[in-house]
Amino acid sequence: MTEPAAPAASTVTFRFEDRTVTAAPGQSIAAALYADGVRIFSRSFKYHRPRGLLCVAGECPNCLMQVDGRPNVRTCVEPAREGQVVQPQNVWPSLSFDVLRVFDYLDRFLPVGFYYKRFHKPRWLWPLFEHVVRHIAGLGVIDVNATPALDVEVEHLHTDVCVIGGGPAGLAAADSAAQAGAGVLLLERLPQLGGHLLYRGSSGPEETDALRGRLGTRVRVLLETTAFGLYEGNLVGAFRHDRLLKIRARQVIVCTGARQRPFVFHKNDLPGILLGDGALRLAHLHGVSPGRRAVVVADDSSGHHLPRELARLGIEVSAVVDASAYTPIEPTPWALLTGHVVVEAVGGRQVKGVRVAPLDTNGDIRTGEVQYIPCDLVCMAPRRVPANELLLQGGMRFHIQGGQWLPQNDVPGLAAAGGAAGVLDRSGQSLQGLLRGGEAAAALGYPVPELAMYRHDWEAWAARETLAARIIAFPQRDRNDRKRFICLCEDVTEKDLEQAVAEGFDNVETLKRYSTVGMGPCQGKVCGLTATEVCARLTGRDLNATGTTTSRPPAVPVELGILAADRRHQPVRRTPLHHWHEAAAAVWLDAGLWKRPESYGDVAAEVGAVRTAVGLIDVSTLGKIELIGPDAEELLDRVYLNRWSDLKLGRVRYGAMCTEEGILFDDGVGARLGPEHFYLTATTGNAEAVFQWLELWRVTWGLDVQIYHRTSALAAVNLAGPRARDVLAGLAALDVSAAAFPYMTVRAAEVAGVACRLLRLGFVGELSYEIHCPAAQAWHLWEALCNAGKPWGLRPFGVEAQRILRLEKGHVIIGQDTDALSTPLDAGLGGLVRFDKPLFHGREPLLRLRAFQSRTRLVGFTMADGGRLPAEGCQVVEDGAPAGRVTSIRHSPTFARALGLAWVPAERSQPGSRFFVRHGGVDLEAVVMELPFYDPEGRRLRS
Amino acid sequence: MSFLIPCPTCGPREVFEFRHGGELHHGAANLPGPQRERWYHRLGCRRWLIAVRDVRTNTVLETRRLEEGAP
Repeated sequence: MTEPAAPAASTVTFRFEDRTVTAAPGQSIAAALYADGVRIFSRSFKYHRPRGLLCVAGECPNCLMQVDGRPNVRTCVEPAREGQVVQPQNVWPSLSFDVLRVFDYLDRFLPVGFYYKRFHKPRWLWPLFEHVVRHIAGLGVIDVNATPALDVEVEHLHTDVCVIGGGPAGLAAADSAAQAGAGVLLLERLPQLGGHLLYRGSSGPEETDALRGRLGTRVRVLLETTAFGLYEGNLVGAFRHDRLLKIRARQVIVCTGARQRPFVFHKNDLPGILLGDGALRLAHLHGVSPGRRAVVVADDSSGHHLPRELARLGIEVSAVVDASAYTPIEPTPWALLTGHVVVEAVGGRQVKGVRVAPLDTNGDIRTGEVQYIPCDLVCMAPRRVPANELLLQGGMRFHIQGGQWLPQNDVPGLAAAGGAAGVLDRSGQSLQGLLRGGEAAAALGYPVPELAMYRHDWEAWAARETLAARIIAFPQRDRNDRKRFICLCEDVTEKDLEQAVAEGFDNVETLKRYSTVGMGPCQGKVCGLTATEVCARLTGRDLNATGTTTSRPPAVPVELGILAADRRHQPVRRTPLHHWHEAAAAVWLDAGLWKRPESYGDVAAEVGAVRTAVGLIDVSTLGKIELIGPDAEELLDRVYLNRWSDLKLGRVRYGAMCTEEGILFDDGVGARLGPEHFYLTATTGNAEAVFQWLELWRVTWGLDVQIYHRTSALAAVNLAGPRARDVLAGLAALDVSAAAFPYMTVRAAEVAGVACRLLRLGFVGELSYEIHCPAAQAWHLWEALCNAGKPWGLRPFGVEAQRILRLEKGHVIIGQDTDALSTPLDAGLGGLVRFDKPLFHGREPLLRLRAFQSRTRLVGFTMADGGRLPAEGCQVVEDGAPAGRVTSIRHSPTFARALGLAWVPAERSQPGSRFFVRHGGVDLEAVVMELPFYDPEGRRLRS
Repeated sequence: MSFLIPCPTCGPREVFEFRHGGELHHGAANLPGPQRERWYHRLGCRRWLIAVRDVRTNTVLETRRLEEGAP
């Protein structure tokens, strides 16, 4: 099933610099500009040299522009669209006249690593340098105020076989795998299948149609789909327009082809010097003639097809310059300069000609025989090298062997075919594709009767085909040739690499990091192997010993917005009372996935209501877990620090638990509802983790208890304040007197007709009832409580008021006041730990820790003078060094002063001790206070 | 990290659906090679399982329910 190509549109117009440009249907932005006469497409990173089209495949950095505000768009592959606004990058004032070109003449002062050498002293000047450098060197500009235009989705696909690349090898591989019955997904980055058949050779279109026809509906073809990474477990990362694709394939066959790269000669970066394939792509894919008079530069027979193809396009070929000794059998109408190389390109803003010279038997230039050939187009057509980034990411290693980089190892589930595997011949590519597709299907268990035939055909071809050893066609540099560019992205020249190697950076990885070769937008596609060749020559090692740098995703530039697609659909949890809070103009707080009311606008009034009258808070987000079974109490005794087996029926107890390392993990309350029935709460953030934890140990120990996670099924509200009993008395079918329903007990009763579980607790330090009910009845219960509370001055309160209230009471919030180093012994919860239990999580480490004097303690404090409040997280400092931190701090409306919790050195933990908190560079004095601050005897919560 | 875990209840699923629960035996040798680990299928059956994972390659060699005990 081939997805239909977009219908052919009529011409479009777009804005470029200060004019309007017309593009033919299907043309890329850069092709339309080229047709319009533009030759300079960008200014280089460091020297601001003019740069023109090179690859026309979206691989090099030369055509990056700002399109509709999006920076670094590869305009040679970006389709022109009506009304686009296209602007050049990194230039001032314009592409054709860039003042910063002055750096091109200052290159002697900008040697390799100049930023390491020049800018480190004096240190205080660095921010200034950085500002200037950022301005001069760079790519596009991100509009920080822009709203994201991408409406990105992520799509997860699963397939037997994923073939990446729809050229001859990819089409053959997809065909044979599908023929065997495997599910096949074929990814092609262009809008049509065919790969190099679309622009090389004369029979391309018919051949492609025939191959595509064979695929029929058995292969799912995704066009305009770019694979950017091959990750662990054969996960292919790809994007298609504004969609991120995550493709999980049982077998991956990479058929991403082979590519040309620039020769190294003086001024090899002038506009008008293109890769041969780039010139052909410009002509065949975009209908734009690359030039009038061409010189073709080659280094073996593969380059000699190009002049014939250029001639067919009506381009006059002046000469073919070939470093090798290859001579075509047929006579050619153009000058054939075998054993010659280009030593220099001539021209300022565009190439005007080349100087060429023959090589002597040592491979050095015969300087006396330099000749000049005028032209307006130079096509560089060296032997192609594998476009193997995805294969390298997948663990395949390449060595040079018989003049070509070839895969050296087998990686299960991963295969390469065609140019990506170093096969440059068209029929060899198809034969290898058929074999790799058949092998992939066979590996998945599909019967492939043709497999022996595929293998025989491929091996017969491979035995015939031999490549001559490759000639590295860039002779020793003349010392005046300073502009022999290796890396176009970062403006790294051969001279820079020589200097870096001379300074000791003679390993390709350190050479890359020091010189920045291959660290720009192309990520080494243009320069990587050339840098290896230069490094090998300079160090006297062979290419395999020199090696290549590590390839990591993304292999192609990906917009961050696309990678962020995964993050778009985050679930949100709302309590059953959410819309009531919304109507009451709640200020929202994100608590994990939950939305909670932080306040209803007046925190101090909310605190005041709870302290003097009555308040009501939605605590439905609390974790709610029910345990039923004969071993329920055994499980709790082993998981919690405290004891549960002696909890009496109808009683409630506070409990906390540790990890196996003795670190505080969670706390909450538990109630015994029956002999084998417990009801627990966990903190909002840990509800799921506590459930998982209990479940883990239930299974591990084989205990007979069922664990029910009821967080979503039940709502909970906390009615708190000295008037709470008065409010509840009118609604509950229950004696709510202190004698009948005392502190830390649980009752089941109807409240406003709703079946509820009521727990008498005291988190906020007042008489309070935590009322749990089925989620569906929560709204009714809440409104009934609000109405009944009106005469008593009831106010709903939010999380912020609750935080202040609990802080006044000195209650610790695990995870806020504790961290991954906090034990219950240091956090003031030592009294909970029942070491007489034979087994519970944390027992062994806590026993050991008990023997030591701990270094820090969690204490309550206030500020010595009433002025500034330090922020939460501020350091406690002792002799200028960090010695603890503030975990909670608020201005208390009840005490009219700052109250907080902090970890302080043990010797400063006694009430009245003073310590310093560093806030904004100022040390503020604090005083340790006895906890709790509020109602130390606990009379109010017990009332 | 992007591998599949064959859940004994749900079949092969992406690793991000699971939560890692540490090595099966506290303080195990921590050597390169197959390692017995606890995993919890949080976005699936919500059950604990044991996976034998080669930590060098992230290949999951075997899985079973935690109830069934160590392989």
